Amino acid sequence: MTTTSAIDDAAAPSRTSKSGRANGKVRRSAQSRRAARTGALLVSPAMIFVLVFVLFPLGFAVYISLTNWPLIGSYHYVGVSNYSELVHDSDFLQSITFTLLYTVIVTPAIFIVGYGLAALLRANRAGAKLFRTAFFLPYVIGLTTVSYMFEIELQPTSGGVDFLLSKLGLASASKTWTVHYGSALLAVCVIVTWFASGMTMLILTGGMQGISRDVYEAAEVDGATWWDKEWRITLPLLRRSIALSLVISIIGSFLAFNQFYILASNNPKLQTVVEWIYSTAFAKFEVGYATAGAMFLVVIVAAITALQLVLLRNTEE
Amino acid sequence: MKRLVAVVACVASAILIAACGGSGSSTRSPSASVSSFGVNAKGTVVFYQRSGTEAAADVLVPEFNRTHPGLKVKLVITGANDDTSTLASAIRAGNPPDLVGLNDIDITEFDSKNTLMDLTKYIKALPEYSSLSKGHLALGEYEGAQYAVPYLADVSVLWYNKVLFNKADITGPPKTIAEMVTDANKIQALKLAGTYGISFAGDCQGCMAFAGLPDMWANHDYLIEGKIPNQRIDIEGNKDLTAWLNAYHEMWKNGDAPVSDQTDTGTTWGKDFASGNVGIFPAGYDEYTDLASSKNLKNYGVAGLPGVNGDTATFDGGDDFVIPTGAKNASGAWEFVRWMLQEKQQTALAKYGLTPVVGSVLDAQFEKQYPYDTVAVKVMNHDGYAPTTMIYDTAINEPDSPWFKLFSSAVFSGQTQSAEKTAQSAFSQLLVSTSSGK
Amino acid sequence: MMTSVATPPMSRYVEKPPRPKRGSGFWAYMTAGVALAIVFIVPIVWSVLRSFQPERLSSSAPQSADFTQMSLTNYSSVSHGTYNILQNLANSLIASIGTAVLAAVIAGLAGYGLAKFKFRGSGIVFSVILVGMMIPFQVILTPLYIELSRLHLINSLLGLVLVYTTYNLPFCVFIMRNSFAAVPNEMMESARVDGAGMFYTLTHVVRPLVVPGLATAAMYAFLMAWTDLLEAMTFIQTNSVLTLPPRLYNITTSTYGALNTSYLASGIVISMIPCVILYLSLQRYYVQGLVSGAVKG
Repeated sequence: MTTTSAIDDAAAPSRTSKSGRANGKVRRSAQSRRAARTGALLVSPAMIFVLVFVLFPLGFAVYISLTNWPLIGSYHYVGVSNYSELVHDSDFLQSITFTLLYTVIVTPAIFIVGYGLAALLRANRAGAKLFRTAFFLPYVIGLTTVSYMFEIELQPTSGGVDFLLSKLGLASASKTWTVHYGSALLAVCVIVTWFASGMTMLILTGGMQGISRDVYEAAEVDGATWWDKEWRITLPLLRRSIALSLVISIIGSFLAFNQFYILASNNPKLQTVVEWIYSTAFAKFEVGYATAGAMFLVVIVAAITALQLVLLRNTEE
Repeated sequence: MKRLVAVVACVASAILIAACGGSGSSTRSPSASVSSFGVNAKGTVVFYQRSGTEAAADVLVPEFNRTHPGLKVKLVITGANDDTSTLASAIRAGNPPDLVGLNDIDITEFDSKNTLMDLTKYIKALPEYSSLSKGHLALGEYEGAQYAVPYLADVSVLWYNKVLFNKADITGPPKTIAEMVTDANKIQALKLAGTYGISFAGDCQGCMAFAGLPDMWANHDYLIEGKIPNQRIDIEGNKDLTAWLNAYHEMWKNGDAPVSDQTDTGTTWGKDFASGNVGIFPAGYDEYTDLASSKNLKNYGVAGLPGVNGDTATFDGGDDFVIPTGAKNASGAWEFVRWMLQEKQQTALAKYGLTPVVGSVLDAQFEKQYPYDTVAVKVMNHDGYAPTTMIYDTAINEPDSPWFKLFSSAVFSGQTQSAEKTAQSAFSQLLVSTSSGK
Repeated sequence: MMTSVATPPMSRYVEKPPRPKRGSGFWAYMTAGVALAIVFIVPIVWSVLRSFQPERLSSSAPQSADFTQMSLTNYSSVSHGTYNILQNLANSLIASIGTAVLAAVIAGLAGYGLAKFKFRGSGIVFSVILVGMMIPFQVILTPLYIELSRLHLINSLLGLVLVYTTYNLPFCVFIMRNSFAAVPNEMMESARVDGAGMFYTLTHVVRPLVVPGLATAAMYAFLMAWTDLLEAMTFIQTNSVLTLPPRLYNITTSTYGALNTSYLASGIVISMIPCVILYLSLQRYYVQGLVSGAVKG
């Protein structure tokens, strides 16, 4: 959400700073002071919210992670022992590796499907709007509702998935999906891809619409094939949109909770990091320890977002 | 501009300073005298009842409010899975409820942290004291004091299908574990389509503990022996446990149970039994509500869960009443408790698939009206037990717990000996890490 | 008799003739489009049908005969008795609408301030909001919980709305800043010259230009609040205050893992309705907002 595209920059109105210099300094000074105050006043509610509900908790979290804060009762300072314990905690480490594995599987899947959908509708032919609506519908109803839907349909025998697959001869009619690691992971990945590819499609569509047909036609005159066109023209010009959709996808996967909590919580090998944090804090009542684990996540997510900003700054010529 | 920054900073700080205030402390030992506590109390009582066992409360709380003007009980239903964290949240926020119907297996977690009121002298003064379920009472004891009083019972029993038993020429419910196996085999030998000798939720560790552990307890074999903090594990080489695991393995090998049992996480526990297709079904007494609504209740019978030698036992599940320290209307809460333990209210529990915790309700009228619950009450009074240990959740209930691993490798793979060895060390490990305090 | 059409001289063709509109490429596109649309829509439609299936059928395999036994029992069982979710539906509406309004207003103010006013520290403000986006709520869940607990905002919809609003602020502020940045300064200048105060300018002059942005911001905030599970589960405890997603979780899992699919089925459809309505009616805002907030800086 922090990218800029060259086309948009051209369309943006000139910033006030550029037009301000021409006017007399004295007149601007009194007016600008009042304007500055108004501006500051306007942004202050948002600032207060972010200070109180994001920045303060972040600092507080660092403090908590250095204690053994339990859900009920008193606490004391324990220094970095939470962290040294985390490094040896097999449950925590497993949740991290599982979350990584899940991210690595699902990110390319969502991207490829989303790209395909965007490419299909790129030319805006008849029915494109209807198709776009259909493809985006799962995203609109939210991952929580989608997970509940599939909680019912993944049931053995009575669920729609077994029904459909058995009619197609692909699986037994009473396969239990969520009990075994492999089938549960496969099911969740397919469901999440189905859910999220509409969003990727939209982001990429936005980028694709910014590429004018002339560029393609010039290439066609030069005899470029379809593959050449995609690889040499579309992808480079879409760089920002691609990066955006990937980052959203990756961070979303790192923070995955709903789908696993609803569909696979009785299988501890499928526990994600956020699930680990939640159960450690609120089922095991170990808030301090859980917060230390959360700090790992903060670092990772902040690093990815920062990386995105740096990478995209560089491509801005 | 600077002034604005200052204002923003002030507002933010004010909010944060309020957030940094500590929560107040509260006393455990109540000062009210026995004769005045819970008598003619006034005001509101906030009562946390967990969903799952709320059926009776939904009817009885309005009845109480109607007959006790000036005192109002506010029924608050908490979620089935997070009732403990709900209570913990409320305590931490400095705003605890006045009364909680706490899942008895979770009481230790709270009384060991100084968050519950010491009710010893009030409990001893109850007229029903001598007939209260001893198992439930014991779960509320900590370091010599009583912090909980029984409220309702949710015990495990052996259900059986009388029609199938007749067909297989079996005279009565199995009285020992060995008989359970032969009965299941006989019913299976009838070779009726879609019919099985036994059914159990093989992927549901909580279910198997609830319905299975009593088979060991019947012979006074508790697996986790001793009192906190000096408990020890008796799993490896345990004769009763081995007999039980082998029994289930034999039934499994013989095809007495449906194949889907291995992956049944409890989602459809009891549905096949309620359709009349299963001979033996060890489960909770609350299966009664499903059977009663199937209109074929007379086809089913109930008995105590059998041990190796012909004794029976049951898992004292259910809820106990606790009063958190810092409750604003502890006296009002106690008045409600005293009322709920009276015979009329306890008898009403039976109507909703729950079991009374006061043994004295068993009179001729009760036995006539609720013959099934009578069996449950009798077994509970005679042999009811539930483990008091800090490791119950982590050793037994949690997904992929040592108990789960023990059960599945012994029953489905036949590796009883090695499974017991692994479980012995896993359980012991949990005891060590829990007592070292985290 | 042969029709004779004079063939125009070759010089007439100055560029390639346009591709025939309905060639094989079109049918391939249409087939793919329809097939994919089916894949994306059928599960949702199936779930709606499932909600009309009475409970005793829901534990056996689906059959075509089921269609003759559709009923509204699932809906009535979640609107009466022990599993009544009407209160939770109301809670979800309150929390989501509250979040939408609060987020739109605060983001609107902030966007206006950032786009149209030059003041020292506006860069800092921008960075702070950026940081807000880099810190997802899942990781500050625990300190937030303790903080809200001390402020007595646990188990309260107000606390939930405050958290949701903050969560939506960064994205909404971006949208609104772009919205206001697209308003020509001349328009505001001429309004000021005509004697209009700031409030009048905002509500009458500038409004049509920023309403799309506000609608987008409000909609995104609403949908985020409506579908959230983790924060609602953590900060709200009792059934009467819970929003729909966690309440559905509670009523469909009992102590031993049994699943009440029928209550879930109707709960799912109820949860879907506002999302679908909002999306279909405000579709262009949804896409536009995404593109402008996401693609523009």
